[in-house]
Amino acid sequence: MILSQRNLPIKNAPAVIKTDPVAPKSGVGALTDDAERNRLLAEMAEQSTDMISRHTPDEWRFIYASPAVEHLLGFSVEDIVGMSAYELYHPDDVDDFKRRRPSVYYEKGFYTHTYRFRCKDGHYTWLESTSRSIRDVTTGDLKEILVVSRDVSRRIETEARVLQYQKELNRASRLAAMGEMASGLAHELNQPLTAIVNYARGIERRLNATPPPSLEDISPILQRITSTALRAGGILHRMMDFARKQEPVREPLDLHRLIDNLIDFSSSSANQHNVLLANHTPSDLPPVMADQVQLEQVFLNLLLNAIESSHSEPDHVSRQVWVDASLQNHDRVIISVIDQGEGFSNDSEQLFEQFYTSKPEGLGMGLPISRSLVEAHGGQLTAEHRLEGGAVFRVMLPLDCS
Amino acid sequence: MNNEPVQNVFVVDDDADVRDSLKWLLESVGLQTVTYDSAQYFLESCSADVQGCILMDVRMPGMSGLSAQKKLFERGISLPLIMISGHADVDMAVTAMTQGALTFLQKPFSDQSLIDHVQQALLLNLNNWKQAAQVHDIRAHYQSLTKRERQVFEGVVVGHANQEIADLLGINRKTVEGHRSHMMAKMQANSLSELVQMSVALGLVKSFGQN
Repeated sequence: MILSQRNLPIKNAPAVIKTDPVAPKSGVGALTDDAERNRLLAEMAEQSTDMISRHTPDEWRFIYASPAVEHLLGFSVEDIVGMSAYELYHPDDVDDFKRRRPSVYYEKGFYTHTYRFRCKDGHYTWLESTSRSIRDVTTGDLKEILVVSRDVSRRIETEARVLQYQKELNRASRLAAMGEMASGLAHELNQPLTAIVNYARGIERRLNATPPPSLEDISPILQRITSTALRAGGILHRMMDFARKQEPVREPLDLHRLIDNLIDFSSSSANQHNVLLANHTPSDLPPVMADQVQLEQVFLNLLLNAIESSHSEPDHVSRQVWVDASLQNHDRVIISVIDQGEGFSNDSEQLFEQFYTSKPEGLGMGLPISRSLVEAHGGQLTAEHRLEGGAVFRVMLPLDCS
Repeated sequence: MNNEPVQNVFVVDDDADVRDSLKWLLESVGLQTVTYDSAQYFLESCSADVQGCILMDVRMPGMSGLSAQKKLFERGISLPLIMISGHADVDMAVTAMTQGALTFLQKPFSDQSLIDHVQQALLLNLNNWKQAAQVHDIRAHYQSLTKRERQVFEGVVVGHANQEIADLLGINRKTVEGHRSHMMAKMQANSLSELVQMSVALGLVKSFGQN
């Protein structure tokens, strides 16, 4: 009901409506008359761009439909009177509607419902209807249902587009973060690969020597080769987890371990910026119900921001970035990402505005996306300047997000 | 001349696997290897008279390879240095080379190429050491000369004949000949040209032009 399509010209607007109801005292008698009021309401119903309809209680057959039906659905008033609403519901919405129907009958309040309805040309349009049951004053029997419907297709489409856009942005920022890490990944993988080559060639050279080495000499090195190769595999797995496009899946998460993995993952970036990373979160935090990939995205973003803003030249003293966490009221956890970087001088809320960035090549999307992800988990993301220098970003997450 | 020194390969890398595997590889060809997990630790334990070469990762947390290289230079440790890196980082390679690194290897590298570079670095260090030892010997010989013998040494290397030296010093030519033969024996010089080379090694060259 927020957006409505009031694009129909109001034809033949009744003259009474133009009349100021307060000024001409001579008309007071006529306006307070019930019959006259009903006549005016009926006239307004006829002119409304919203469709007003009356239905039989059993099969929801149209007893009456206002002329707006023609614009909304393409049916003429004559076409639709007598048809059952069930014939026009989208098959996927029928069950939903049947499940909710008792509320229309038995509860006094109005009932609002958004659903797809078939137009005369066969395509479906989104309608939002507010229904109200009308009962016999003396017996209390259900007589009919009064419904006001409006076209909300455009709103639904916009919402879907925004959602899709958001998903694409999430994915884009995930990919961007991966791009930044790609060079880091090359370094990460080079280490174990170099080690494996060295171990293997070292064995080969020893085997060619006289006397050849014993199995006991070589077997610990063979074990090192295995564990080093597995380590390389682990790096690739973590990378793929980040790249995977998936719907949010809530599962109990160990935040301490999640932060550990991310710190591992950002270590090469930290090296490049001469930053020391530390995980001070207690290992006995209760699990939070959350989407792992989304939380990883949030904390990775915060970590990489913190690392970049704490940059110093290699021969200077390393700055620190650390993560801390505490439990609050037994039902929420607050995770803080703290840095010794440049901090910020302006209003912290500005940081969360889209396309606001302090980085020469930044998009200004990381923090707004992070905040929307945290809020989707029922949490909050805030920033504060530290008096000692640097910034702290706090993520509040309820333990159970449902 | 002294006996040849024991040479070590000093491996400095924060990654335990890389460090241990390099030791394992280098020891397979009989190279004595010592490992360090940080540049700080290496600098702390490295004295000026160690011999060998350094194999160091350019990127490490704390002190990077490049700053460690500068610190080594400041402390007068001039062991040949091979930088290794996981990145094809041109800037870092250029910096390392202008700071005097012998070479810059990108991980993963072939074991043969690494061993060749290490052998070359050790050979270079050995030659440096021999040269330094030679200069050390010449200086010791020079210091054993008497004041007269030194004066004769300086006169001879600038090309004066015995009589000219005798006139300059106001002594007998025969006496100059005696000092000259003692001086040549003490310096272990078999010819005038050897003596001139020794004077160059001692840094007496510039005094030629000034006199």
